[in-house]
Amino acid sequence: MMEPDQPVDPILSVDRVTRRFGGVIAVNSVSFGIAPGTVTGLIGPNGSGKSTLFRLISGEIPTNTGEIRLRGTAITHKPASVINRLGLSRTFQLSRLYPQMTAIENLVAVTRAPAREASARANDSLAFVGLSPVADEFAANLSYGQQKLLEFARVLMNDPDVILLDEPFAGVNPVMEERLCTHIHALRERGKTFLITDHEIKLIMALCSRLIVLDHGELLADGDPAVIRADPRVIDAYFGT
Amino acid sequence: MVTLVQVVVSGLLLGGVYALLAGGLTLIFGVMRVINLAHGEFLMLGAYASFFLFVRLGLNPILSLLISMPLMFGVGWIAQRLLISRVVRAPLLTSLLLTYGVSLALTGGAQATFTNDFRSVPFLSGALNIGEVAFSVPRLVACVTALVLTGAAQFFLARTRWGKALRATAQSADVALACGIDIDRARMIAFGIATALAGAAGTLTSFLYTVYPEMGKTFMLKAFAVIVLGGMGSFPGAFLGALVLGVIESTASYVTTTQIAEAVIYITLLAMLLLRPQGFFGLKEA
Amino acid sequence: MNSRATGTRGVRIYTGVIGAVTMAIALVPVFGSNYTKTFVMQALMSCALAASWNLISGFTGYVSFGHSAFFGIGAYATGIAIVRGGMPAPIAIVVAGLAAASAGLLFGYPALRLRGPYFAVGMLGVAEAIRVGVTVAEPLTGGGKGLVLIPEDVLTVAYYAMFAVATATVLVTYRVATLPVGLRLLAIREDEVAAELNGIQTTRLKIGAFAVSALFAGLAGGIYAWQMSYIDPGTVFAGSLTVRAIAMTMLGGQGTVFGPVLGSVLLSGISEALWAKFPFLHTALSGVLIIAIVLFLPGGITQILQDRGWIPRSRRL
Repeated sequence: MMEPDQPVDPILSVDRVTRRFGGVIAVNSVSFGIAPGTVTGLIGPNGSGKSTLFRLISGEIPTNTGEIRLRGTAITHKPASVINRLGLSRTFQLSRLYPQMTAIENLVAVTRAPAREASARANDSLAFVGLSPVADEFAANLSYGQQKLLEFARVLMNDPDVILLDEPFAGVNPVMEERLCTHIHALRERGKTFLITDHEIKLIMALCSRLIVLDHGELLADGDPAVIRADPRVIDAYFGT
Repeated sequence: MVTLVQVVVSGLLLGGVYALLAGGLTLIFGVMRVINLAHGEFLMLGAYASFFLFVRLGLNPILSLLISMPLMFGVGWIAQRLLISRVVRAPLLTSLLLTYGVSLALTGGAQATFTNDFRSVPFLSGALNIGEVAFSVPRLVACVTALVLTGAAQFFLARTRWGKALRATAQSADVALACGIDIDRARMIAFGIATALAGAAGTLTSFLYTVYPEMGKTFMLKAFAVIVLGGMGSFPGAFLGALVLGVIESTASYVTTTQIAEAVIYITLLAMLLLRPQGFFGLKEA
Repeated sequence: MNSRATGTRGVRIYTGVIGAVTMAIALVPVFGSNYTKTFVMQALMSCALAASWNLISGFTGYVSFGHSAFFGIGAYATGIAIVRGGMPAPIAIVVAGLAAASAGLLFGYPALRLRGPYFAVGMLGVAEAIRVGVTVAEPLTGGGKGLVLIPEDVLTVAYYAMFAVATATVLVTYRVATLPVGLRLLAIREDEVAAELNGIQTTRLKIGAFAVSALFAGLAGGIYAWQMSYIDPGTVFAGSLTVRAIAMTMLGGQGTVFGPVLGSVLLSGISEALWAKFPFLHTALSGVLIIAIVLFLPGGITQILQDRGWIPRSRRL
């Protein structure tokens, strides 16, 4: 484990990033860096800018100002597919699978392994998340929890270094929750970096070694979960009411 | 200088008619997020209605609007009720293919019923000279009629109860539903009005151009160019877009030929789609 | 599931039927009359157009209303290469195919940046603009009066050439569908943003599929021009060519390998048997058919066969 005070080159850094929608500033000059091999929570009330920040980092929408770097390389204006190929992948709050394609096809479609190995790789991924029995079901016919797991498996297909999980626990039953947490721990042990948003504060506190709090598009607090929890401003904005 | 004024004037007169046609198209898109590819065929039906009322009963095309517009409203109402309502919540491409099918069915039906002959309505001719600028009388009458009808539609949308219901449905069908608006009926009204406007545009084109079963296609593309210029779903935008397109077309056909002018419109459409797909006043995409 | 066994038998019957039909088509020039040859060649042309339309529109969901543009470009490139360039027909047709593919790249690059419905209407505009362009470029194309090629009796050769193009289109579709690239194209149809965010290079794939689609449509147009030895803008840029391709593909099943084949066989047969007696109803019936499929049968015949368990849900079919 890294000493907390020892400076490490961040694998992902967000540098004074701003994004407006019309007159509304959704993300206002937010900066932070994420150390490799860590699990960080990104929390904040609804509309605080978490989702927008995810869309900015993954390249779905462009930033107005500021820079985002992955392993020191600026990815700010790169197409989303290129950012994914550089090793950053995300899930969605509401799963965005390919509904009229089977579970296995959902994985084969995104793999960059040679065609010959594609289905073997996809089968391994399905087995990893325990979805082998439903390999040939259409994604649209899977249960909500299964869809979340399939999307998780899809994110892992190309072995990304940085994984953004957008509310992975929302609406998921305790058994699935447990499974997902185990996967995240296992992957972190293998050096993967996670940035997770969720409203399940208990789970986030348990999973994350660091919390970043957004409020009204601005960075409100950043640090150790226990300290964050005691921060009166955070309590006021988030834990309060 | 006089030629320039002349070209702009005839472009604006043309634009008035386009505004009438495009207003309906943009209304349907605004309320239902459906691109109605059969819109040109509704224009064609309106044109035939006026043609037959003129030939058989000698009815003045402008007066025939009193008969054809309610009729076309009914056609639109039924089309919405039987067909379009089934695909409103489906992906945009589904409704696109459906209305494409409607467009073909109407064109083919017209070919079978009315034959492929070119018809025309010999109504009004000559020009009105103001200074050195000549106003073609048929175009002037068509433009004024179009403006009156567009204005009436705008008034309906802005001021009446059902107009407000339509705009609420356009903003958010779910919220409108929660507020107790009968959105199915609002949609039928919207489609009916749009169809009636298209039919009226057909009446006006019947004495400006020739009437034939496939006439709708060109007009549909022009109307689409107009609403892309003005912004999809924006009624005032469609009005301005129509005037702009009218002037572009009349300038292009003055400088080159009418055939090339047609190509210029399609190129304008493509350029606009690529450079500013939200148009000048368009709805923002989520 | 016991439907799996039925499924395998279903596949055998299905592929058997396809094999038998292919053999029959190959033998038509040997035994068939000129009428039969012309009719089957027409069906093969429809099949090539439907299958090539399916490559872009069925797989990626980018519905093109301007497919006839590439058929027309192929026809005119062939005509111009033969009449003005003195090229031998087979070379002219290959050149024409490449010209259509280049046009696909040229128009696809900007047009495919448009989201689905805008692309659809945009392509309608492209096709119209090209038709007008060809009509206006009279010194080169002969304008609205059309272009007369050197008349030759090439029906049998042209027949086999069209057969080859139709088969090649279907084989390419089969190859695409059985590789991950086919699933990537389908992923674009399902959720393009998610596809892009998953590292699928959507723009490149769409343009590639569009160019291949245009290539086959262009080749079909070239062979048509060669065999007819007369072309005019109204015929080779006719919107009805696109309509047939769309109706056939939708009937058979979009985004499947054999859907367009099934659709073109059925519709060609039906239209010859029935609609030929009522030519004036052709457009109307195509329209009604499209409406009916959209409302009641969005997956086409392939889906019915799959729902009944007669053939398995395999992307190979």
